[in-house]
Amino acid sequence: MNNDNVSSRLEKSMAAMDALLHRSVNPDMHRRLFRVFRREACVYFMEGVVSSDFLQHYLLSPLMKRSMEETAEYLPQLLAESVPLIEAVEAERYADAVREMMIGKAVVFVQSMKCAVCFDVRMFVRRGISPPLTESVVNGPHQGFNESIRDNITMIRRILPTPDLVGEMITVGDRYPTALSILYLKGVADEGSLERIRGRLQCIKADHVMSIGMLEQLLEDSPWSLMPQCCLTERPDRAASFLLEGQIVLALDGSPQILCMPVSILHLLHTPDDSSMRWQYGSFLRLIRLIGAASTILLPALFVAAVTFHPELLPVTLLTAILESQAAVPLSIPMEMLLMLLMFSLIGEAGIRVPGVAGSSLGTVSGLILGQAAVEAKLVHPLLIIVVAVASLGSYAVPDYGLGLACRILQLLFLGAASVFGLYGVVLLLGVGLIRLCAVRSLGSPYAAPLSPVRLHNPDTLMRFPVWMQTVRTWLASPEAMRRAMGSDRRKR
Amino acid sequence: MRTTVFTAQERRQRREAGDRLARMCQIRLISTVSMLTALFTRVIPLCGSAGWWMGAVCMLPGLATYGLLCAAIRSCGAKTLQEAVLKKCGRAGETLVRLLLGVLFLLEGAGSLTALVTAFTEGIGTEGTQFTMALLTLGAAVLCLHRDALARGIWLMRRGMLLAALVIAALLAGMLRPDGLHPVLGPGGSALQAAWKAGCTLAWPLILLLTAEPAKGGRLRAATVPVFFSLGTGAALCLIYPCEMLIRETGLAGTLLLPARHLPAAAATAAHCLGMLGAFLSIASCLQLGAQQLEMRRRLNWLPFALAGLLALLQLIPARRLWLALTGIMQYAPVLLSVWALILVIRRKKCAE
Amino acid sequence: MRRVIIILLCCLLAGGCSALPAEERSFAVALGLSVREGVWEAAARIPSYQQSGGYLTLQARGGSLEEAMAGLDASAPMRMHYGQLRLLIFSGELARSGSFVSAVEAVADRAETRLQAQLCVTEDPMKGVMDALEPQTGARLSKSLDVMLETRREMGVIPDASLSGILRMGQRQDPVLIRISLEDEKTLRLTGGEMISGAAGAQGSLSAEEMQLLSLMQGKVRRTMITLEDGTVTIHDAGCRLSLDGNRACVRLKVRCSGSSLTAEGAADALQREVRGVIGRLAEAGCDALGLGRFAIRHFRDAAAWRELDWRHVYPALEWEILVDVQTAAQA
Repeated sequence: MNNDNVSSRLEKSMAAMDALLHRSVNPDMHRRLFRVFRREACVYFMEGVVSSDFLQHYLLSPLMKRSMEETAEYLPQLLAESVPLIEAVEAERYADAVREMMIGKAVVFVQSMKCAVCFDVRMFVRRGISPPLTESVVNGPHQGFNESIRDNITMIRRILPTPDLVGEMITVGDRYPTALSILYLKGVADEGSLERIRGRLQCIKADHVMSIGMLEQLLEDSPWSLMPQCCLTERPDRAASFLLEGQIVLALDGSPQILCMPVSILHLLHTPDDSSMRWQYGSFLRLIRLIGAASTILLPALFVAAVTFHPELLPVTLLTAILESQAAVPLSIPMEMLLMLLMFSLIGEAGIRVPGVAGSSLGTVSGLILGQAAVEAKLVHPLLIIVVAVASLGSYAVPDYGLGLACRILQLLFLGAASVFGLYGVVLLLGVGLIRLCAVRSLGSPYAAPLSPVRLHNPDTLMRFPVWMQTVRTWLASPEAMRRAMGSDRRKR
Repeated sequence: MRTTVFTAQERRQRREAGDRLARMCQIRLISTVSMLTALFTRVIPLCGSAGWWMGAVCMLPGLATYGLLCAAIRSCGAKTLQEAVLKKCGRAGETLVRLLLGVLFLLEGAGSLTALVTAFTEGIGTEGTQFTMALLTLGAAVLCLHRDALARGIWLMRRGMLLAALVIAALLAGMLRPDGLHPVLGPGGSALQAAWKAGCTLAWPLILLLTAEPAKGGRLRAATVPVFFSLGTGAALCLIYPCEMLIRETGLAGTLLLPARHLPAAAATAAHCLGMLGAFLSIASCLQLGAQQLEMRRRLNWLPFALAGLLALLQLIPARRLWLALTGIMQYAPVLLSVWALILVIRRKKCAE
Repeated sequence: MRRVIIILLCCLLAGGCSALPAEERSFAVALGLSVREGVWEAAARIPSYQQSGGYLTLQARGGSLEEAMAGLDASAPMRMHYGQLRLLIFSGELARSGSFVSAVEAVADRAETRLQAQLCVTEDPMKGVMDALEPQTGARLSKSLDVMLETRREMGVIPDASLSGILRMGQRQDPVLIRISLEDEKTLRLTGGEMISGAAGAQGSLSAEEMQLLSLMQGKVRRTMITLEDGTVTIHDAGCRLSLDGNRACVRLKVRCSGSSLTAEGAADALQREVRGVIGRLAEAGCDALGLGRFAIRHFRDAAAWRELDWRHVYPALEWEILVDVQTAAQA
């Protein structure tokens, strides 16, 4: 990239800009010559990202009408004053001018002016506000983020209209930068966490950060751990709830999800529905989700362990039924279980890739047909299908997609342990797994908190207590902002 | 609802207190597993129905040493045994006591590993050999060797394990018979002498509690759980099984599996799983804490792995011989700790450190 | 990552924990042992694992119990597993022999034996008894046996003779085993008890009514219907207290009953007579089924002194005081 300062000679500036933009082969990069303040001038812009109306009516038209001569020294200021656009930024180097042009600004060079002036005439093509694809709720708003960072920040600001909501704008990506916003509530977010996240963002060495998922992998504490250490959400209300808890939210231009850090494993089991419902219903659903997650991880393993190693645990009636049907099946029970789990995962993946109604029909039909056909062909026995179906449903009950996938991988690990060592292997792996869970950190904060280590927390972890009891922010917030107002004064009713 | 909110400094202090609690919980688990194993394998098979009071008698020397050391530590204003020795005996003394504690942790780990492996290979009937089962256990233990996570993980699991233990205890309660306490002297006088000789160092693992800073409630409270849990389990064993069954020669695996042998299948499997998990966590903790003592305040990341390898190599020795050797050494090793206790009590504080 | 590799290698090396698939095991529901003229015979009842269901009886012989059991393993279509055992049946001849206690211990010492299995004695041929073990009312045999045993135990006509309970009696109580007999080729009767006197083995049997009275005295049954000599008594609640003072044993039986043709006094007299009869039978057989040994042992400081006493010789000579207190439902 050309780091030279902008020349006062227009020809030289145009030559430099043409070279940087590869105009000879890049038809998207446009240049328009005109005269302003009785001097030669030109404007560079990129087709498709600027608004033609803004460019013509609010930039070129007012400038072209300026025909009195002015001294070169005051040109940048006069240019900015002449144009009724909100943003006008000076660029002293060609590299800066190109960078501004790439994010949708029009860059104006004038003969004898020693800098370029960049005007905001952006009008990107973008998707409208639509319901989130992966986080549906029964109660609560149905708005989801889109790919525009500006729209996403606007949606959050609508929910939290306070000047304390700070959105620091930076770029990530050394060669092809992308805009990133670090959002937090000033006075609520922990300064230590902010420093850590700024430091990690500065340490990112990548040409381009394509998506928020890539950013997650570059920021997380334990890249080798199965557990997701950030929460990705498509919902502005959920992002706002994270901010209120003192967590930090990152919005990346081009990604319809935002990333929240630090989190604990319990955050990943919460849904926005929980706080919208009465505490009894929220607690009940949370319990169902926990049972679902536990079933996903443990049920296939426990079944294999009981049938293969500990048949004395099963009632003989059930055991004999299993063994009678198993007598005709060529595969061992662990292999059957593995086959069926992989098949159900395949059906799930295929359902995601096939769009629309066909996707859900595909899932239903293939599950029914394949399962039924497998039983009739005596490849598996019926009880195993039920176990696999319950376990697979459990993984879909986990709200966080990453955590759901982690549960499915753990399911296979536990199945392996059960196949080799029975219930003892399952218990041993469970012990090791819980200890490794305590070793994971999210932005330096313990992942298994507040269970272990115990931290001061909102009564909204495993069970959701009434909202009027939730007067404390999580341990993730700044110490000075732990207490918050919540509830109504029942004495005045 | 009133909520107390703490300043940043108070939060840090509370976090440190929480970490101390988790560390204490870890060492209490080691002590409990050690004392239970010793009670089941050394004391009760010799004294039968006298085990319910003989266990308490065998604990007296260990409790006395523990009390003496607590007093000595408090008197010199130290927080741990190592610190007290440093203050009273200097750097050389501290090095010696760290070496001794490290070796004791390792012996403890080796004992738990031998018991676990024997219970599985000879008792439950696994297909692996002694060495391969040990490799598996130590491999899993190595995965758990994280600075904070092991203690926090044990803290996290404590309620689940206690709940499982309570459920098993409730099932065992249906099998209790009060005449199990008789005859009070068990097989007789010579058997009691043998039991005393084998079990007089029953409570020595409590001394390991002194290697960490005390948590809320002090050192006395820290020792109550291992002591009462072990005594309670020993008494329950005597109440469930008649004397003749307790002193029947069944070998190490038989004595370890006897408590749950007569439970329904599901409860027996759950009890075996609980015992296995407790022993496994104890082994991992012994590796971690033993390495910490032997590191001598330096950071040697390879040391826990080396100790795990050493424990694995020990399992090449036939289990019976290894067990005899370990129990023999562990009978005499705590005597050294008693000597240290006397030295700490008698010796005046050194001025330099 | 290297730690994960270590553990995966360990898993590969370590092999499995009794990794035999369940479909390659034969789960015996009943095991029968008998001995005749020094020849041991073992029989087992196993499911056939066919789609249509059904059960098989396996038999094997040997010069010793271990040989017979090994022969059974060899003749089984798959490896024998006793983790689902419901009945452990001894022939009368074996139960009366000196090998009975060692046979029980040998079976119990097998690692996977289900210790909740019930011990029974039969005088009928073992093969016939095994073949007659068929599920009733379409249920599985094990379920059918569980229900049958539970029902009869609740009525008190058979004792609770689990292997675990008997082993834990030690030398301070004697078991009473379940009596099994063949009514015809297909029907089994589980009723009454076989008295065991320590190492001497089986010493006689108790009828169903005697067994009910014994169950009342043991506190195993609180509600039942007993047919006495003088009439039938429906018992709604019963409690019994035993005590031993030196050479004098006392049984205090408190009963609340109704629907009897007898008066309260008449019922009390009848019960007292019958109870005395049962106690006499037990004393004659040297079978301390009531567990008075548990009271006696409290007076001994060590096991050697207790063994010296030889409780089985002292027990038959005890003097008995039997107090029966009957309350009819009307009085209550």
